[in-house]
Amino acid sequence: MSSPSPTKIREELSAYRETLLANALMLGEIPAPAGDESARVRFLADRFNALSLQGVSIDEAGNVQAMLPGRKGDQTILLAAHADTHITLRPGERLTINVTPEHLEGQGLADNTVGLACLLSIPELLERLDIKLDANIIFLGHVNSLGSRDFAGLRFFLDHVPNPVHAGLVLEGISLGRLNPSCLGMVQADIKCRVHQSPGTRWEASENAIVIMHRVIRRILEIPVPQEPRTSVILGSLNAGKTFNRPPEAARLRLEVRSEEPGKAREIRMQIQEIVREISSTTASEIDISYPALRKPGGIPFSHPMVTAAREVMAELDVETLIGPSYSDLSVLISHNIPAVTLGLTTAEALNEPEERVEIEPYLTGIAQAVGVLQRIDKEVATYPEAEDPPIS
Amino acid sequence: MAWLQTNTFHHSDFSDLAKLCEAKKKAGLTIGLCIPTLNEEKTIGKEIVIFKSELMDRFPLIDEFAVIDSGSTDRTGEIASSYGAEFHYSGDILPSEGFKRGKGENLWKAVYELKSDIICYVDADIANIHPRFVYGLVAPLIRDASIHYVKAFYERPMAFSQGLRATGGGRVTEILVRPLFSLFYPELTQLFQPLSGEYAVRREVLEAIPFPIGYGVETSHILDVYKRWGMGAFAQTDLDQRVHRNQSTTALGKMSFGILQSFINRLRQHGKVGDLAEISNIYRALQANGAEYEEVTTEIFEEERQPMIEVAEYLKRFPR
Repeated sequence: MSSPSPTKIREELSAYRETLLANALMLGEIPAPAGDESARVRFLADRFNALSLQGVSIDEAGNVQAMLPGRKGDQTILLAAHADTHITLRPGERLTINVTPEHLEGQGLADNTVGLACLLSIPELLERLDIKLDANIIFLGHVNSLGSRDFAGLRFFLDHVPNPVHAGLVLEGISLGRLNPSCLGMVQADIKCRVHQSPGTRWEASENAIVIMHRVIRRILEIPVPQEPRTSVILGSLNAGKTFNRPPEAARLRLEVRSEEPGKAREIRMQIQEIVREISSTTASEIDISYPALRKPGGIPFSHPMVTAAREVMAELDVETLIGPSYSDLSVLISHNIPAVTLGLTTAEALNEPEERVEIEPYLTGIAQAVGVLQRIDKEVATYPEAEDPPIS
Repeated sequence: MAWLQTNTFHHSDFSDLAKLCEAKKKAGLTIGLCIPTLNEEKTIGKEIVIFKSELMDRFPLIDEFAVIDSGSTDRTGEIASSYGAEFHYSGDILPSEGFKRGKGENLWKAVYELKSDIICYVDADIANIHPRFVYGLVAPLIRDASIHYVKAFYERPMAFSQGLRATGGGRVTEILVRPLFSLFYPELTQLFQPLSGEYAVRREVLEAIPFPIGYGVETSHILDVYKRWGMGAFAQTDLDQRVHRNQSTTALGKMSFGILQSFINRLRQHGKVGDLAEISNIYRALQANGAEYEEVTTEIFEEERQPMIEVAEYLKRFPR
């Protein structure tokens, strides 16, 4: 049994480079758009079984989980990576991942194929490096995480896991150095506008959904947004119309509000709701607003021992740490009062484009960092305070 | 039962790699992998990483593998070496025999370079490479001593209207080779894709047959093995889909010309045809450039390497 330092782990990883890259290559070629991750999940389940992990299963939500029992087993650490990607293929199209001495190349690698491949590689590395941990480790590839799916798989898992989880480590492909101990409050809003166009109305007289949605957008942009604590309203998507000369009957706006200040995202949500109600009642239109995702702000403080442990491991590996809040998986762990951090693993270019590529050497450092942080959490987890969980945004 | 039923497999029949490695150990066999290359920088890294990880580190199915190159001018050699593959320029192997440019030359040199009992050849241009491309081919050889030569075949999703999965060969197979086999060697029509570039073969077969260095290598192998060992020596494995570069019709015309040369040579050797006129080595195509029409000629000469067992240096390296 050994307890190698992060630097030593990094050195040892060179001997396993092909195995680590093969995991990313093979996973990366299995398409996994949100809601259709089953092939990727089955691949992981087969690999976890081959590694003799315990309780390998695919749950009702479609997540794959496996456990490595600890020597003591009185604490449980969750290692999680989302299995879905933003890549949706056209019929007949396929995902191809290639490798050069410097890069892995292909769509979806950064978010989150390499995170998932790291999750798959860690139990194998622990075995090969003869690292034994005291805590039970649950390896979770969770599904339905992206966009309006709002981490449905991870929520299902945490709502139904039979035994307490004492700490969490979230693996994200990018970027190496990222350390998120807290998450922003977040609201996603989906606004749909439909105007009434009577049959036979001349085009000059028709109501136009774009014009009405423009009025909504202008009013939203007038909402005061503080710079401190950091708050933002992101207009993410706007769809309306099909041709040059036909006023559209429908328009759709999708936006996201983020804030580090508890309650601020909720306050802005209420203001947007009021704007929508007012414009809908004063024009010949129906405007509906729905909220695909609502997340709480919260997290562990900068002084939390898990943050200190992660910073020390990164410093030993010469990784420049970028500490800040996240708006991802972490929020679900925080809402279950589980102290957790998110780690980035490598650097990437051309994210989600056909020429997307991630760097190999930083990736190996990122994996060593994840193993190193896991070792530290294992030693200290019994002393960790719970994560803060303020009311919902 | 007919050969088609008894000697046709699906790669999933052999996916229990731990069991397959156990059987290999019990049979006392060694397996070498050869990847012939010419400017394959796009896909060579992936093939090496996946085969090394899955079939050497994770499961000890492959004992050695070599990338044998015809003189790439891109990063093929650098990438292959960076992932720990043995990379050889074909001309450096058995230098006393000289160097001839062609895929068949690389395959022939592999018989000298690799030491294993079974050699598996996998082309380097496969975009969806997977360990099944090797274990699916070597497994029948491990399991059945009477099988000597295992060919890959692939799903070609061309027509699903009848609820049938089309498993025909490529264009050259269906338009040229299958009609020729039907005319002269009907039993060989049971091979779905006689031209596929992936196959695994026992050394005693590889060292005993000649190797055309160009397009005719696969066809002549099939005919030579059939003539000497019979249909029972063959097996074929369905490897599902193979994604690769599509060749132009012009390139396929040249390929067909080379295959026909090898085929006619074998017909003569096997006494299947009477007097034939001397055949030409010039492939003739036509090209229209506006109102200008011209003939484009290419010399395609299917030179053959002798059986390796006739090479003195080979006998020194592998004494009888």
